[in-house]
Amino acid sequence: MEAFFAAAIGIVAACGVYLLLRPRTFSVVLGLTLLSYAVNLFLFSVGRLQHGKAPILTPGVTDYADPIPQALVLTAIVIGLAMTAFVVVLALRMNADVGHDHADGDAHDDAPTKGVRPKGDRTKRARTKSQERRS
Amino acid sequence: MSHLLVFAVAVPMLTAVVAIVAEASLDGGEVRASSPRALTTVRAISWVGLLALLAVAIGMVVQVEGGDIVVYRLGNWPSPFAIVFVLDRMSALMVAMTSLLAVFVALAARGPFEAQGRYFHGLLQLQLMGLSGAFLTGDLFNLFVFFEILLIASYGLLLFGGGTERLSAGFTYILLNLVGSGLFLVAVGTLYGVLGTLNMADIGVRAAAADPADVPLLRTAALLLVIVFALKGAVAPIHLWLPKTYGAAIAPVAALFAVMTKVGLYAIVRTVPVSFGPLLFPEGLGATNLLTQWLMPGALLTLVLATLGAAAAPGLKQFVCFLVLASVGMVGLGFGLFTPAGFTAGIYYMVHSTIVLAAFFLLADLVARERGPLRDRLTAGPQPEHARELSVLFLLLAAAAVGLPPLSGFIGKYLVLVAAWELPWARSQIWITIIATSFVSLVVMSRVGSVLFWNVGVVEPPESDEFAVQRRDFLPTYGLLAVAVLLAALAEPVGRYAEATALQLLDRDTYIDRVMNDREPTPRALEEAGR
Repeated sequence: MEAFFAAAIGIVAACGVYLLLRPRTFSVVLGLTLLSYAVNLFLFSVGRLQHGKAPILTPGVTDYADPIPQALVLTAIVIGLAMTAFVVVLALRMNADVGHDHADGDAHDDAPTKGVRPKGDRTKRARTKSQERRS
Repeated sequence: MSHLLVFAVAVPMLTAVVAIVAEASLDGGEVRASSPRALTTVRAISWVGLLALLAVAIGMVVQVEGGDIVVYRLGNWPSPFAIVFVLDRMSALMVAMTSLLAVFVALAARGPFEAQGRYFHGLLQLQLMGLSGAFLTGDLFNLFVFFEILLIASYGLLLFGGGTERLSAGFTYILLNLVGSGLFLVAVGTLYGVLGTLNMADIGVRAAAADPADVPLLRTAALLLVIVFALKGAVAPIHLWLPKTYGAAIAPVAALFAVMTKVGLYAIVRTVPVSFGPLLFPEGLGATNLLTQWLMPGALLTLVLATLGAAAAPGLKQFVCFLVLASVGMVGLGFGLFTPAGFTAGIYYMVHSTIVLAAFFLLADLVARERGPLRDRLTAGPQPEHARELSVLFLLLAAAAVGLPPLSGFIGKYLVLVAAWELPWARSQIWITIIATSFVSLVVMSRVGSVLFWNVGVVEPPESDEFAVQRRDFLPTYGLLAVAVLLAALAEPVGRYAEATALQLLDRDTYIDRVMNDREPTPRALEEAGR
C-alpha cells in the first residue's frame, strides 16, 4: 500500500507541477489545486498508513493512529481551499480587467490559440451571445 | 505566567475585527470606497490598536532586556505538547520594529490612500497580527499558519487601490507564495514523519539524537524549509518576484512590505541554529557547511543583481525596490556567516534597512506626486514644488542606504565587513562584493539624484488634485528618518543589544532548556502539592 500511495502522491504532484508551468491562469489554478492535494496526501501519510486503529490514546490502547497529522492536514485543507478560492476570484478579475488570462501578466499570445482563433474575437462573441440571452 | 506575549497577537486581531465590522456597518454593502465618516471612526480604532501594540512591544523588549527567555504555553500544556510562544530578544526586537513601522505606515496612509478602497486598516491590523505571530511562535506548523495569515493580509494590501498593474503583479506574487506554502508543508511533514514533533526546540533535541540513516532525509527537509524562507526573503535566485510586486503596491503598503522580506530571514536565523544546528552544522558554527555553501553565494548574487537592477531601474519606486533587494543581500551575508559577529551585523543592518527603505518608498511617492504626468520616471522634468525638502531628504536617505558615514547604513556595512574578516573562507568574496556594489550604488544614487533634482526645467504649477503633496505628508518620512538618525547616534547601545541578541540566537542549549524544561506548575500538580 505504501508504494501505491507514494506513487499516487508523486503522480499528482507531477501533474500539478506540469500544469503550474502552463501559461494560462486556468491550468495554473488547476495545477495549484493538484499540488495542494499531493501535499495534503503527503501530510496525511506522515503519521504512517494504518487502518482500524484507535485515533485517541486511551488507557489500555498502545497501538493508535497518530492524530496530529490529521489535525495538520485539516488545517492545510482549509487554508488551501481559501487560497484557491481567492486565486480563482483574482484570475477572473484579471481576465475581466486586464483582458487576458496569462499567468505571468504579459499579454503575448501563446502559439495554439493564435493559430486557431484571435482571442479578442472569441471573448467578444461570447459576450454578445450572453447579452442576447439576457435580452 | 506573563500574558504579555499573547497580546501581541490578540490586540491586532481584535482591532482588525472591530475595524472591519465598524467599516462595514457604517458604510453598508455596495460601495467601492469608504465614506469619510466611516474612515474617521476606523482610523481612530486602528490608532488605538497600533498604540496598544506598540506599548505591548515596548513592554516585551523591557521584559527580556536582561536576557531572559519567556515561554508562553497555550493551554498550559507541558512541552512539547503545547504550542508555545517564545519571547527572546530577537522576537521582541522584531515585534517592536514592526509595530513602530506600522505607526508611520498608518500615518502615511492617512488621506488619499486609505480612501482608495475599503478595509485598509482592517487589513493592516491583520498583517500585523500575522507578523507578530510569526515572530513569536516556537512551533513550525504554527509558523506556517501565521505565514498564511500575514500573506493573505499582504495580498489584500498589495491589491489595495485596484488597477491592472496591481492585479497582474499580485497574481504572480500569490502563486509563488502558494507554491512556497506547499513546499513548507512538505518540509514540515517530513520533519514530523521522522522526528514526531513540530516544536522548534524539540526538533533540535530529537535531531541531535536522530538515527544516522535518517539524517540525509532530515537535512533535505531542513534545507527545503530554508529554501521556502529564502523565497519569502527574496534571496537570489528566487528573488525575481520582488521588484514587480513592491513596485505595484501603493506607497504606504510598499513601506510596510520593507519588513516582509525580513520575516523570511528572521525565520532562517530562528530555526537553523536551534532546530537544525546538529543537522547542518556537524562541525560547529562558523565553519563552511552545507548551508553556508548555498546561502552565502545566494546572498552575494542577490547583492550584485540588486545593484545592477538599481542601475537599470526606469523609475524611482523600482529603484527603491532594488534597494530592498540589496538590503536582503546584505542581511543575508551577515546571517549567512552563522557567527555571533555576523548575526550582530545582520540584525543591525536589518533594523536599519527596514526603517530607511520604508522612508525611501514614502519619499519616492512624494516625488512622484509632485512631478505631474512624469510620475517617478527617471528623466529630466519639472522642478517639484517642495524641491528643497525632497532633495535634502533624498540626500540623507541615499547616504544611509548606500552606507556613507555618519548615517546608520555605514555602521551596518562596517559591521558586516568586520564580521566577514574573521572568517578566512568568506573574507575576500564578501569584501570585494560589498565594496564594489557600494561604489556602483553610490554612482547610481548620484545619477538618480541629479536627474530628479538638478536637471530640472521650468517650474510648472502642479495640477492640484487629492494627491497633491501637503506639508503633513512629509511627516512620516521625517519620522522614519529621525529613527534612522537615532540608530546611528545610538549605534553603541543598539549594537550591544544586537550583539546580545546574536549570542542568544546562537545559544541553542539555553533556548531548548527554557522551552522544554521550564514547566509552569499545572493546576493538577498544584492540587496534588496541596494535598
